Amino acid sequence: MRLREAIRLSDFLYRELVYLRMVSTRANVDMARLRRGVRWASINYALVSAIMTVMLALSSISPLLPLIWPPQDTAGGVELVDALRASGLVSTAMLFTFSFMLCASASWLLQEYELLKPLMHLPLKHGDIRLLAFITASREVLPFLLVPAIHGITLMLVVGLPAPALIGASYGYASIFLALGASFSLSATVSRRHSGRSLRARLARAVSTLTFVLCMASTFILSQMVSLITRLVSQISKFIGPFSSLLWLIYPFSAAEGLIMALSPTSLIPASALAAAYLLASLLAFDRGFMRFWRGSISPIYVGVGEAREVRIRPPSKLTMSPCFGVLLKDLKMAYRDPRTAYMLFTPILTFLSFLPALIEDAKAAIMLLNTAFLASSLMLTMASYQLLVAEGSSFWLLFANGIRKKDLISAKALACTLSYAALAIPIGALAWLLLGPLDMLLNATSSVLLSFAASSICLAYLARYVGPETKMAKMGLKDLLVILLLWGIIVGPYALVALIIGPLQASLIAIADLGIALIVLSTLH
Amino acid sequence: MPAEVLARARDVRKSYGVVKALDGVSLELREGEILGLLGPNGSGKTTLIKILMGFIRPDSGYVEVLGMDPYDNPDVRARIGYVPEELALYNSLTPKELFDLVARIRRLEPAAYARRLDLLVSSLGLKDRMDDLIGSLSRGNKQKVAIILALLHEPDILLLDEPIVGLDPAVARIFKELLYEMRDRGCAIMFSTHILEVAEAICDRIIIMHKGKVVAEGAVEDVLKLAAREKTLEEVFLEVTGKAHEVYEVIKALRGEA
Ligand SMILES: Nc1ncnc2c1ncn2[C@@H]1O[C@H](COP(=O)(O)OP(=O)(O)O)[C@@H](O)[C@H]1O
Ligand SMILES: [Mg+2]
Repeated sequence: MRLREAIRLSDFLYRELVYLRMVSTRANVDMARLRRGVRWASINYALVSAIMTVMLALSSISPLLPLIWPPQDTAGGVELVDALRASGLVSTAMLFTFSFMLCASASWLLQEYELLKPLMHLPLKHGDIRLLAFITASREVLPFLLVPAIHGITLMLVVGLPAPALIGASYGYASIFLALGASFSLSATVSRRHSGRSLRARLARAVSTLTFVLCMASTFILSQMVSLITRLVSQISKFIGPFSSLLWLIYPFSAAEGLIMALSPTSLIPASALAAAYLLASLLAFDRGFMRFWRGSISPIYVGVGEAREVRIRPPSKLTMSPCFGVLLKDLKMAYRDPRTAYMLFTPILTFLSFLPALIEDAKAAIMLLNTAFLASSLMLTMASYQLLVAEGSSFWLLFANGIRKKDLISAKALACTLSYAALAIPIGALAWLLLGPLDMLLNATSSVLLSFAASSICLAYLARYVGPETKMAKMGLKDLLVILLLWGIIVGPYALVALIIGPLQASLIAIADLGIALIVLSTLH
Repeated sequence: MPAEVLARARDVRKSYGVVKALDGVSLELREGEILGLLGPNGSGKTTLIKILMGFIRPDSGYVEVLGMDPYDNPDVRARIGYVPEELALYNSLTPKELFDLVARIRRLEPAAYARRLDLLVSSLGLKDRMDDLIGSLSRGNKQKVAIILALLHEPDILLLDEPIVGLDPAVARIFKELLYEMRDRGCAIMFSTHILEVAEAICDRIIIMHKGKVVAEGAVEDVLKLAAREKTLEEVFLEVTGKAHEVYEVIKALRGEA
């Protein structure tokens, strides 16, 4: 199969992918918009890729620009070493992050919806299908291949030597291939459903969910920390000189240090050897990741870890026999098994983590930041509770055919969010109380748990108007999103004001009042 | 004493845009009978069942299930068992977890529920799959899960939309036995199918639908008599739905007799 033909064929797969992304991420897609979206997919893709490529190229070379056009007003200007270090780090980190995110999402969809299966019946060779799979999954990343070249050329212009340019470009390519390999093997791991009750099956499920969440989290945090890393590294290398002699070995710092080492002929050889080694390793990682993904795509996705065996049917405990409890249990189980839902439930953790650098830098700001994180979490949980509605998929009929009441459905989902958040917030509040002093932190954490329950149950009560036995997918339009933000503001606003002006104790009374309102709203539903 | 009517529809109409899914359908479903709903694809069987479930409101006409309007009184579903045409189950739960969920929603008594589940699961041969994820089950096993869900609470009415799809003959035979047992306890059963042999073998009474209308109704023998020339239900079916001519033309063409 010629490449031209492969690209044309992968267009079809890619459209399917765009369609799935649209229906799975955007709520309330009407058919006309979908049809337009899918038809314009290729053009859309070309535009987005072009913009992303330009953005990545610009951010890679931006630390170098002051050296080409020195600013007139500042006397000292920028030192070459600092500029190289920043440019190397930003380039590798950004290339890795963006390649990973785009390819992970595409390869995940390819595998989850078994898009390659229909191709198996066409008169295509396995090698051809493999090529198609690769082109489709990495299509959005392929234009990034230009970025290391641009980066290299700029380095060449700035330094006037070929060695730093080559090393810079090779780390760029290594980052892209590493990211592709990681995302392929991630989606291969995650989309394997492990069935069975054995410890191994349970462990496998837990690990796959955790991997997904951690990977998503790490890219998120990495992108948050790019600027911080740059600052930190130059500080570290200034203050603890001896340690920076180890840093040059470790990716992604090796990219920055390699550029600097390439300036002097003595350290040029180890630096280029290391760059070549990383490039080779990244290619190997890419190959292994892609082959895992490929094997997973063509073989059955569900893997039976435990063998089939007869089970004794035990009656569930009497205490658990309520509709609300049933849905709560089901939602927690499903969230734990489906990385996408788990990810939404874990977003508060990401908030706390993304504040971590700031917490380390300035312990005084810690209290303020933590309180902000508590408030922000209640908004994220509102969104997570919506995700729990989405996670029902097209199975609403099952709940309604068995006579669920919306009251139970909503309380269960709000509780699922609140409980998983409480498991995080209360320990953090307690820790902050022990480490930073004021008992207020624990109080604030507890109030934020109450607020989260109030906000998510009231917002769900609003959204649940739309769901019924015939619902094939829970939806939320722009108007609904605005209403939800407004509702959240009404619930959390007074609390935040009182907390800021009067104090946490009085604010907690507001939180209790909010809880009361939520319970009243719930009791009016059927 | 004539059997009590548990569900009733009178002149029910429902349109989707210009498509008349139901065009004035009337029927009665009585205690202790198995009513077969026959008809080609798109004749309105699923729509009718969803209206009886109270999932959709008809445009006009009268619907009554267990003495109530099912759309306005969803609580009536406590006494109905339902198998939908499209099986959207939770793929990441195991059958046992799903059964437990439904038992909790229906507030079944735990011990009685466990006994009933054990009986159903063993008779349909799903016992060794109880700890697998539903997503990993075959179509037939998923269908078994859906059937068990509908039978768990020993309902008074069973509304089954194409329930035998995917079942192998042995399981279909057991399924038939389960239906007889439910019928003998007074349960009113209605199931849609386009497999004629099944309807002929299981049903006490059949209704043939075509383009949203009831075109033939009665006991299987009566429907057969209705068109005296024809010998099998298949021929009656083709005749009353007006497809006989069409189908015979195609058959002739296939045999090269054209
Ligand atoms: N939600 C819907 N939207 C539009 N048309 C529908 C919908 N549901 C059913 N129909 C149409 O109504 C007619 C009857 O459908 P259905 O009740 O599913 O028939 P059957 O179950 O006998 O195959 C068909 O023409 C179908 O296309
Ligand atoms: Mg149908």
